[in-house]
Amino acid sequence: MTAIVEMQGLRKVYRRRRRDDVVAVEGLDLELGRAGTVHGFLGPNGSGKTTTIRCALGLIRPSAGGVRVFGVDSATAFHQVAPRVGAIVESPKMFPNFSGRRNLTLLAELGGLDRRAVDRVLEVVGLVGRDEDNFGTYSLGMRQRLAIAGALLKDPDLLILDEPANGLDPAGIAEMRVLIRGIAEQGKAVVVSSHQLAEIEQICDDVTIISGGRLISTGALAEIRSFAGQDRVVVTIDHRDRAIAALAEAGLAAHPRPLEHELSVDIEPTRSADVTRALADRGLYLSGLRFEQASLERAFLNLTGGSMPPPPSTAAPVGGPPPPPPNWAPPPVDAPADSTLPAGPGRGEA
Amino acid sequence: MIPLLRAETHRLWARRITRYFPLGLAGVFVIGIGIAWAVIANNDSDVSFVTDMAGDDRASGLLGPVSGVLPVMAFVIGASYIGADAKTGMLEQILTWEPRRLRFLGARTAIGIVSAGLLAMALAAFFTALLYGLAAITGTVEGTTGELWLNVVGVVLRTGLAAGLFCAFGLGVTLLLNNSIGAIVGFLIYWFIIENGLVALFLPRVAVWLPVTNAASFGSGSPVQRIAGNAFSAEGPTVVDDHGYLLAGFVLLVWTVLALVAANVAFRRRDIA
Repeated sequence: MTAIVEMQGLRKVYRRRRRDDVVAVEGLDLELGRAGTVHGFLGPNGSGKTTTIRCALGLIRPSAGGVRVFGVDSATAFHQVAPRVGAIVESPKMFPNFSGRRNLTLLAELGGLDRRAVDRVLEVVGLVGRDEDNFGTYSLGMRQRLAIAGALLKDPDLLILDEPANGLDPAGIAEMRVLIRGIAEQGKAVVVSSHQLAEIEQICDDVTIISGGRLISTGALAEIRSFAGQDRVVVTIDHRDRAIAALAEAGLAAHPRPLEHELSVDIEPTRSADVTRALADRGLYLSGLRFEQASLERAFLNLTGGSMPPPPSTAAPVGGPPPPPPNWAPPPVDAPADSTLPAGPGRGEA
Repeated sequence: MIPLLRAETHRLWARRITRYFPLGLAGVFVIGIGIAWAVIANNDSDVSFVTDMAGDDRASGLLGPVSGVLPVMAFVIGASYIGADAKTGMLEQILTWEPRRLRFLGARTAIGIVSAGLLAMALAAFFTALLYGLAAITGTVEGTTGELWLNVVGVVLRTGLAAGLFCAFGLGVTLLLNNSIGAIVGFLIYWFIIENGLVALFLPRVAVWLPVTNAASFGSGSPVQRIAGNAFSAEGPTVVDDHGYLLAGFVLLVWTVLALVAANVAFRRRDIA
């Protein structure tokens, strides 16, 4: 299935007076969004997600390369596809002194839409009853929902949501998940940018991770999750070094974890009895045991270096060397120094 | 284009500044006329609508007391029209609906010109009515001919047009500066200190080509004047006519177009972030 958003060599440099220029996005070759699916667009804060989205929406001009949305260049001809694209960028933006309904009505008029469209989306996001209140009086969650209503007004084929769960309470997040999944099930393409990985993991079909403005990995959710390594059993025990040695004797690979009394064992949770038996046979008794699934969060941390990325690189002088590649394939945070990540799709595509 | 114009009209008129600034001005006019009425009644003087208020049978002095306020109002409306969108981030939202920036700016300018023009005309007509009422109560309206009323209509219409152009000028300047407060404060400083003060005194031949001077002349229908000579010349400093009100209107139009063209160039190149 063809991707709706295609980026080729996308580069964006922000010029700053009397300071070094900032490279926000560096050479992105990327495809996002397929009809009927949710695509998670992930990256630490400052990784270039919002800049990429703004380029796709024609709001900012790429320094090099380009973005095609529904086959048209978004920098020059986004107006041809604008009626098919709904978006929230960064945070909900509406007039604080206008009611929610008035804000939506003004947008609907801009698109030549029937005012019944406003009623429809207000119902979808559950703001009926509060729609006459001023936007400025809304909670962050309500603002987020109104912004989503605004993005849904056009009944778009492509919905781009930048951090849609920001400020939502747990119930709101659950509703948002259902809403986004429901939109995708109607055959629409949804691109969700977020750093709330647990939320993304529950609703996405495909995932892209960027860091420092570069592509780290992209592919189906299961493929990306494979970067997390296998499921683990985490053991809490007093004599950790002895325990690691004992487990090694039993043929189980164990690694120390950052907490002093914790170690992890690369083993399926169903085989956790092997761990307790191996330790008990050698007179070692654990005080805690839990499972740790291979999650998107762990994959994300592994792929992005396990922490916040370095600040965005500064621009290389024209004709000078390119900025150094980011540290995109570090060892897992709790793995031994000599362990390596499994090979996976998309690695090294930056 | 029609939905865009309709949306822009509603967007402008939904703004409080568009409604309350003119209402506030109308209130100030009423208070001012009330004070004038109290003073006139106290002095037992006899005012004439034609000679004391309209100025002459061309009504060129009719809006003298408020001629500076209406362009300021129009400028502020134009500046805040675009500035508020930029400040709240709505501009970003709007551009995902109408990404053609020239089209968007064109629609917004057109709506600004028409709306500010209508508001200024309404205020000018209201002020005229107040003056007429004051004269009728405290003095005389004798000498008010059909020709005078025709000239009054001309003053009101031209004042509206000048205000409309000033709204577009404000919109353009704000877009250029990307800061509505800076544009408004800068405009007030420019108007009071630079154009009406420094340039008018020290560079009178330059001052006659500046926007506010020409707007006032165009609205009133009187020629643009400048100071000729100085205290050391044989005849001393005198005020002379430089050019007529039609040329003044054209000068104002040129300033507005220049501001809008520059704003459009900057706006189309600008990253909306």
